[in-house]
Amino acid sequence: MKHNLKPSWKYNWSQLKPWFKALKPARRKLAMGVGFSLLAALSGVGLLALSGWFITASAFSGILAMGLMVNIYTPGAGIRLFAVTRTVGRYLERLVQHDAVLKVQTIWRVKLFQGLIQRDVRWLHGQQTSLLIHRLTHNLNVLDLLWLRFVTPIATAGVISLAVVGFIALWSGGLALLVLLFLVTIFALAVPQTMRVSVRFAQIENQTEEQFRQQALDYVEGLAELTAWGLSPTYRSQLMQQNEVFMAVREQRLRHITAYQSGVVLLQQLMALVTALASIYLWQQGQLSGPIAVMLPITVLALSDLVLPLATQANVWGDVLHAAKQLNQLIAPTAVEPKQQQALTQAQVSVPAKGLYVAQLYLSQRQRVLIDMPNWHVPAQQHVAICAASGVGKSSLADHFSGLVHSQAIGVYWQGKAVAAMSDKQRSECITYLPQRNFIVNGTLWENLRLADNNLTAEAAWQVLGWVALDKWAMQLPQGLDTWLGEQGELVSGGQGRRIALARVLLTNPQLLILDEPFTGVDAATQNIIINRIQPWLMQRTVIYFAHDVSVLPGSHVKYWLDEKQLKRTP
Amino acid sequence: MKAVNEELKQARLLLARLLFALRNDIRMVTLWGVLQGVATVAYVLLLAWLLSVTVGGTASLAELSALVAAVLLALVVRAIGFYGQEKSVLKLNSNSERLALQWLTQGWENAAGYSVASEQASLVGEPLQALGPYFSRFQPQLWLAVVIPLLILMIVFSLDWIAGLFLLASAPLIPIFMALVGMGAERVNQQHFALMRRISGIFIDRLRNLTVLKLFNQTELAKNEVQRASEKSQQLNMKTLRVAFLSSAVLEFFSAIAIAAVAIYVGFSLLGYYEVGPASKMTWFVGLAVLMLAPEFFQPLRTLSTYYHDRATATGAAAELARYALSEQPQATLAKHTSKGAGNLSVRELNVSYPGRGQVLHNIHFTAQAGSLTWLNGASGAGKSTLLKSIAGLIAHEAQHLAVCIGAAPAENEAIAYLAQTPFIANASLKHNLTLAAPSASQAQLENVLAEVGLAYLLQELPTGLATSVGTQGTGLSGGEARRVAIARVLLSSAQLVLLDEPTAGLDKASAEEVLLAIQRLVADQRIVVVASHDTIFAAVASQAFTLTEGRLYEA
Repeated sequence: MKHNLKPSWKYNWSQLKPWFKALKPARRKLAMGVGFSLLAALSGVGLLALSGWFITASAFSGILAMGLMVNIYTPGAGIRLFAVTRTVGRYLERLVQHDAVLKVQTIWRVKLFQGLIQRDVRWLHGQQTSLLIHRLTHNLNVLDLLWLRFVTPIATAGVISLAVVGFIALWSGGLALLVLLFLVTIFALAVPQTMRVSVRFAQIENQTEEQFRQQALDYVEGLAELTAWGLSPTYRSQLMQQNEVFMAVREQRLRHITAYQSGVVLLQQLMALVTALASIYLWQQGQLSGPIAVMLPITVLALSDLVLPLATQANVWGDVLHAAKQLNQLIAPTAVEPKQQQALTQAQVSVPAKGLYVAQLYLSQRQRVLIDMPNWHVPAQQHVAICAASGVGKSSLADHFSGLVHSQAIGVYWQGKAVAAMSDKQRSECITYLPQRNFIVNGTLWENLRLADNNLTAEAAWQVLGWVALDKWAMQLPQGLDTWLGEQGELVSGGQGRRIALARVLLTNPQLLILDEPFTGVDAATQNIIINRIQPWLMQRTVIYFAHDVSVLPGSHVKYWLDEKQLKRTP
Repeated sequence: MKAVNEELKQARLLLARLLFALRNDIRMVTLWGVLQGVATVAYVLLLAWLLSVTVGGTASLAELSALVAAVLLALVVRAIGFYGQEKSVLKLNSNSERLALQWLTQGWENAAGYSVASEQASLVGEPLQALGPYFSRFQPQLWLAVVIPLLILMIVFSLDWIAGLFLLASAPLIPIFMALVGMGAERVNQQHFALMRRISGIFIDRLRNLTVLKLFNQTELAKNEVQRASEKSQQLNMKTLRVAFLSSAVLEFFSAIAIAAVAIYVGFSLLGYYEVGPASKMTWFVGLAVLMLAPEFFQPLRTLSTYYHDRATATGAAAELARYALSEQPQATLAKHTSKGAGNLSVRELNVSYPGRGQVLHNIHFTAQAGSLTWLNGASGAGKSTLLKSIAGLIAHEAQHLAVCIGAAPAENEAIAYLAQTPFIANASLKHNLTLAAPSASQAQLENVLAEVGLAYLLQELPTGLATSVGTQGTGLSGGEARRVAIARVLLSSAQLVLLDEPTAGLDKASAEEVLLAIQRLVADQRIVVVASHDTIFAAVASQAFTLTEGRLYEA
């Protein structure tokens, strides 16, 4: 068992390590939070213990007339002090902790974003965005529990429990040992045991939940058709059934946790009872004074605030670990190192020094072969159109040519240099790419244009808006260039979005320009105006157009048609 | 503001309905909680007794063993009470989710014709799960926070009424502070919601647009934006949290002060400093019992305050769910009229109105025969989709006569095949997608229909043939392929009436022609085919054509 556990702990720790490491900048705040948490917990226990001692001492010197003289003012002040420090400690703990955790959230979000932006964009577009986004936010929220709901409370409970044991040891080593034994049992049951169970269940619980979500998504998307078929009730009951499966897994896990928690409740109270009996015995033996004999069991009883929630807190572990694992996978470096691959291919091919050269052109999408050619060349300053039906990998080809994505099967060279080996900066200086989607950022028109040029001037912005025939539209907007375009460009029409994306491209100064369906959603008249206006700008550059129909493109020198997995020149 | 209030009203209505439906489960949780509370009080009292009769008292061994047995009994009962409560909480959580899901899906189904956004599907996650704690934790705790302190108060009063007064004096203050805490918590939650949306808004937006950020070498800039947005929200968040924590600190403060006051009062009484009322006759047991009960008096209230945010979370979740989960039972007008006879569709005097938009279809009147293709032409917004959906029975309508007469087809199969603009492709195998409406189709039949719609090549290209997972998560089908799979599905089924909404939208010419060929297969198969489209590709092949203009149908 022990042998089995060791590597898994090591593995688990390695999953969380990068996230803990990122906490360094917030460590002072986090430490302060734990400090206040300790202060509040200690004051809570101290308040009850001192009160117990005080009234017993009073009873002994008063009505019990045991001849004990008490200084009533010091303990009275102590009790009031504890009452105040408990409240203040709690308040500061929450304040400092939340402040620290919010800072941690920022750190972790930036870390995650940093990881994600280094990934290949293919990964992002191969996913259902709504599910991906849910997974990201859900996992981040779960990870946020790590400090607040796991580390701090369990550490506090552990430290205060040890302090109580140490305190008891001041009066009786034997009793301290007894309490320690109880506490070790309680912690063993509540913490490692629960953690193990939570790890075991978290994964399957998450899987069943994701299946349930997926089914719900299918159901909603197919709702109209399924209802018309009369299949909606069947699908609905399947969905309900999947929910039952998910809830059953969750219940099974929580039943385990509840059992441990009940055990903790039982043990905690048993510990108080045993402490009481032992104190009574020691008092009868004359080893403890009366007030102390009463104070010790009350102190132990006061630990319940800290000890009872342990199992619930430890149960978070499985989910945190699962979240960390999923996030780690998301930001794991891509398997193929572009630099290495480049060194490999360059040795094998001789590359023309001018223009775009593709050494080996093999494209398969989800296991279907779309294009298979030995090589392809576009001389510099030529204008080329590639036509293909929808869904045969046009956009994927454009992604490769622009250097946005790389794969071993397509070696792209610009002016003799492997595009895969270029940095983002180098590449963006010589190649500009207008992808099929508009990619309007949630911001103003100005912010969207400025993405293309950090030193953008209003003059340049108005010039390109004029080229894409958006200047009149932009001028009549009350906020002009500062107009908010909304989330995913929802406040502009598809055609306007397309022209904004095009304007952004026109702000760059590329040698190679790749345009994927540049005029989607733009009516023919406007299209002609734009083509005429941008013609001079296009002249000195190498341009590759992608379209499903040649008729929608400005006159280009050479036309290719994608047919039978080959790019064929058409006369 | 008005919209927010309306949303809140709807949310409360949904919570109230659920509360009523779950009342027995809630009662059960509460009863277990009371048992646990009573056992805790008994345990504390017995422990105080045990200490008082031994330390500074003279108890016989028999008395002592009886007491120990009683304490043991109390602690076992408490553990059982805890276990019982937690188990009924689990049951209650599941029941609340089950019920809410049932209502939600019913609501979706009722709205099938009004395009339910696919984002709605995310409601089955967090919002559904957020309801449980409100019913299983907050609601029972509302009772427990009254019952248990009252019980303790009664015991303390019977022991020593002055000590009781200390506790009672703090009691009326508590509802005031609870309200403070609640308001604080609600504010935090609202703020938190908006903020989370904002942070994740920037985060997600920049992620969505990663392509363009990479292309323009602006990823560093985006990273800084994410960081700034997150820091900004951190500052705002702390502002509200400070208020919320302060109000709960007040509750903490009063409970700590009350415990301290009781302790000092008991101590001084025992010392004989007080001569008034019960203080002069304070016994050792009474003093100890009162002191040990004092924290238990406040505990249920402190617990309630930790559950308070569950209420705010549940209200937020209910507001999201209410739109569909509150919708009425299925409309009666959706009944499909079918009768035996020659296979045809006849629509007479069909009228449709949308709330807020008035009448959108006026006196629609047409007949379509089996083996014919009816083309409904018209500008976007003319009501083409609405017409198809009303015939499919997805939208409530008034019609003098709407009948699908099914000729030789089996009577039990009244299914109407309706193909939305983007046909439904389940995230499942190709086979599953094809056999949706014909579960018993054989392998040969499947291969046959694929060939009929010109998709025979898929079987070779897909890595595991019919078993290949298609849809967004599996092997992608192009727009034209997806439509042809949907048509193959119809060919396999016995649906007599086939309604297609814009079957060629967004397709290139070649793909559109392939889809058209597949549609003609449906016609050849003696189905009644109705196509709504503004694509003139149908002009050449339609048996009859109509133009829909502002909700009125004209013969073309």
